[in-house]
Amino acid sequence: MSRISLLDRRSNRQVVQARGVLLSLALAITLDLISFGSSFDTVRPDLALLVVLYWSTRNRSPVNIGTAWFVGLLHDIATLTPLGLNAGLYCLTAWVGIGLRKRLEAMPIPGELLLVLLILLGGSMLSWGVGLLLDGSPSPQTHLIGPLLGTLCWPLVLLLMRSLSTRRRRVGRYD
Amino acid sequence: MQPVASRDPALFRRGMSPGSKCLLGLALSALLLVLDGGNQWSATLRNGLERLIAPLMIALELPGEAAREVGRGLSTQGELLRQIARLQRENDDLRTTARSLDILQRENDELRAVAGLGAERLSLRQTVQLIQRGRGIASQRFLIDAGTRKGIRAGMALVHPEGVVGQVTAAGETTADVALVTDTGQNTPVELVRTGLRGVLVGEGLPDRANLRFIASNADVQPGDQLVTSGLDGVYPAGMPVATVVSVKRDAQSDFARVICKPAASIDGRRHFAVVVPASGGVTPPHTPAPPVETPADTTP
Repeated sequence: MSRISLLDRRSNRQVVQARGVLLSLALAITLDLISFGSSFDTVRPDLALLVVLYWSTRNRSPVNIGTAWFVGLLHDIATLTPLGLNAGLYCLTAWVGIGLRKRLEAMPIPGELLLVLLILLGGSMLSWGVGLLLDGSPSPQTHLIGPLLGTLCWPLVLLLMRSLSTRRRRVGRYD
Repeated sequence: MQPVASRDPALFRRGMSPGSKCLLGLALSALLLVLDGGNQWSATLRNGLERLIAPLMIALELPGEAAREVGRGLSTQGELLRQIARLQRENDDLRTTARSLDILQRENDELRAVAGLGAERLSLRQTVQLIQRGRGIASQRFLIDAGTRKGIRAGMALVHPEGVVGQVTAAGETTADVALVTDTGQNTPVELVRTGLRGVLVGEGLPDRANLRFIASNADVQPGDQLVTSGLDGVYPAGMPVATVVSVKRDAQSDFARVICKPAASIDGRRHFAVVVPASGGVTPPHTPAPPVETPADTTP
């Protein structure tokens, strides 16, 4: 009896967690789609990628490489980028995030920021390289500002996601 | 007692490793990237998916549109009266100019007929609305709310009263992708109004910036020079404003000058554009009859 209730509680917690993940991803994609003018749009950070990175670095997270790939594909369609570009990038980022999970947990914030910057820069350079292969992408300076702004946004993402996790835990406890 | 999960055989419980999943994802992405380059199947897939998310994109544009409407609504009566008076003056001027242009157009047609050339007129196909702007390497592209159903086809030109905006690159049934003149790989044949010198304006994928190519280092080009379409490509009607020269760099090592230009028309703060085709040549009109022109292009200041 107690085992069944334990399983029930676990599945309930998973449902609540999945809802939190879906909500945060939907919110990030929605924010990514709102235009703030061409100058800012060119250098703005990819919030959906930051959220995917956050969830992939958390323990027992429902976000896996497949989810990241689908979110990337959705981003490709919504942002008119060549199909597969963001899908591959998100997939690779999630893989790196999963690989660095334990290291990130033990790391202080400055170290975490540096690692996030490196991950985002790597992704941005990859995207630039693919763009260059496809039709000659613009100069790389725009590909450097996005990751920098993304890294600056990381503490905010952490704060929002942690507050969402706290709320989720409370809801899970009362369910 | 063993936990439920550990009763499954190891082969099914373990599944693929993250590394294998990542490799599979990357392989699928590479396949999609290869197929996305001009493949009909991927164009259909993309257009179908864009159609599915188009309502969401329109909904996302609504808050901005509402804010602009509120801003307009806050104008005082005095401002509105001043605007009406100014618009009336402009309208009178334009009507006067239009009359003289009609005469010039007739004369031009007669002269072109004598010279054995076709009439170069603008044919408005459809007024369209921006749905979504691209991001990242697609930041100089956007999606419009009209497709083949409304007579839009790849290759048609998109204009605004300020000048040329871009070109339709792919048309779905209800939406179409547009590349701005500043997009990478966009080549627009232009000529300088002041000197009649011809060149090609090449997009660099950066906002408000394009490069005028094939201009000799000793050519007469100055900052502030206006560029208009030469109409040589048959895509853009001749004589439409395209860009203004911002800077000219002459290098003794190179035979060509580096001429940086700023496009005449920007899509910032604008939502309505007109899809046009040159009346003679250029894009072949679609088989489906084009609907009548509803409104002139948006003249958002």
